[in-house]
Amino acid sequence: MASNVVSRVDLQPIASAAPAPGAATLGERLDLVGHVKVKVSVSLGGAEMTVAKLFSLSANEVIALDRSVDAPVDVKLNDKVIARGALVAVGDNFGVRISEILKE
Amino acid sequence: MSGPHEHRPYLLIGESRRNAAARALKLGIESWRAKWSHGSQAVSVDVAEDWLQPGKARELSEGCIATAHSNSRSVLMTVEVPARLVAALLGSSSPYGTGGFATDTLESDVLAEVARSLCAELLVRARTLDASVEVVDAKSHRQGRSSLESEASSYWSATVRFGQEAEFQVLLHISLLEVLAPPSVKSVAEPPLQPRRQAITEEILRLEAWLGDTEVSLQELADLSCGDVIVLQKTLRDPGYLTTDTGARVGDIVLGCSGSCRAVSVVA
Repeated sequence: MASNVVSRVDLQPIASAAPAPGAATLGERLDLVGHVKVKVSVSLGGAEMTVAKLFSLSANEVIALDRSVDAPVDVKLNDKVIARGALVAVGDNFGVRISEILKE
Repeated sequence: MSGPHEHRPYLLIGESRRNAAARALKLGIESWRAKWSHGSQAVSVDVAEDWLQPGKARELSEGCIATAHSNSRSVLMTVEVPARLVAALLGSSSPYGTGGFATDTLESDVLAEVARSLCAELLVRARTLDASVEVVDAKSHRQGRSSLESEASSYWSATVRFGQEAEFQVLLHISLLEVLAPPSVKSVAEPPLQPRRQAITEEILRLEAWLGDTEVSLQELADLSCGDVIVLQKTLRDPGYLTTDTGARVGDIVLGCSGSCRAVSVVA
C-alpha cells in the first residue's frame, strides 16, 4: 500500500461578477437537458362549491364544470397552461390533440 | 342613617359621566354669564364634592332663590343667588350696589331675572323644557328650605364664584344631573362565538378536475406543435381526480357531461 500524504484542502473565496448581458456560457442549450422528463397534466375545468357541499358529496354525484362539452382541455406544466387541445382516445388511453400552442 | 355622605346617588353615574355633567354645568353657567356680561371676569365653578348636607346649608341673607319644578312639582334645581351677584355680574359700572336691596324694586326684579335665566339655561342644557321656574326672596324661602334639606342626599351642589365676593350655589337634583351628562355609551355587544366547523363550511372552494398526466421530455415539449397528440398515462377506464386550488386531492372522478357542460361524477 503506497503511502500518500494526506493534507487539508482550503477553499479559496470566489469573486462573484455581475453577468454580462448575452454572455451566458451555455445559452439555451436544450440539447443538454432535452432528455429531462417533466410532468404535464390535463385539466378538464373547474367548479366552485362550499366546504359544506364538498363534505356532503356522495358517490355518483355530478359536478358541472365551468367548461362546455366541446371546449378544449388545458395542458398544464407547473400550473401554467402551455397548450390546449381536444380529448382523444389513443388505443386504450386518453390523449390530447394539441390545437393551441405558442410558437417559440 | 350612618352619616352625611350616605346615599350619594351621583356616585352611581360613574366618574366619566359625572365629569361630563360638571363640564356641561360649567358651560351652561359660562353661557349664562356671557348673556349678562361681556366682561372677562373669571368665573369658577366648583362642582366636585360640596354636597349639600342637612342642617349645614349656608343660609342666604340677601338675595333670591330660584327653584325649577318638574311637572310633578318635584324640585329639579335650586339656585341661591346673593344680592351682590348683580353688581359682580354686570361689572363696576352697574348701578346696583353690593349690598342687599328691598323686595319689589327694580333691583330685585333684575336679580330674579338673573336667577331665572340661569335656571332656564341649565334646563335647556339638560333637555328639560317642561319645567317651571319660581323665584322667591331668600328670606321668604327659608320656611320651605327644610323640605329641600330633608332630601338633600338627592342633590348635588355646585359653588359658583365671581371674583372674590360674589358666590352662589346651584343645587341639582340627581335626575337633572344625569341628563346633563351625555348618555352613557353602551358597548356594542360582542357577537357570540360560533362553532368553527359551521364557519368553515361556508367557505367557497375552487376545485379543479384533472383527467391525468404524463411525462414528456423537454425536447418533446419544445417540439410540440398543433396536431401533435400527447398520450396520457391513463386508460379510458381510469378515473380522473378532483383537487382544491392548492393541489390537495379530494376525490376520484369520471368524466361526462351535464347538459351542455362538461361534468364529472364523483366515484370515491
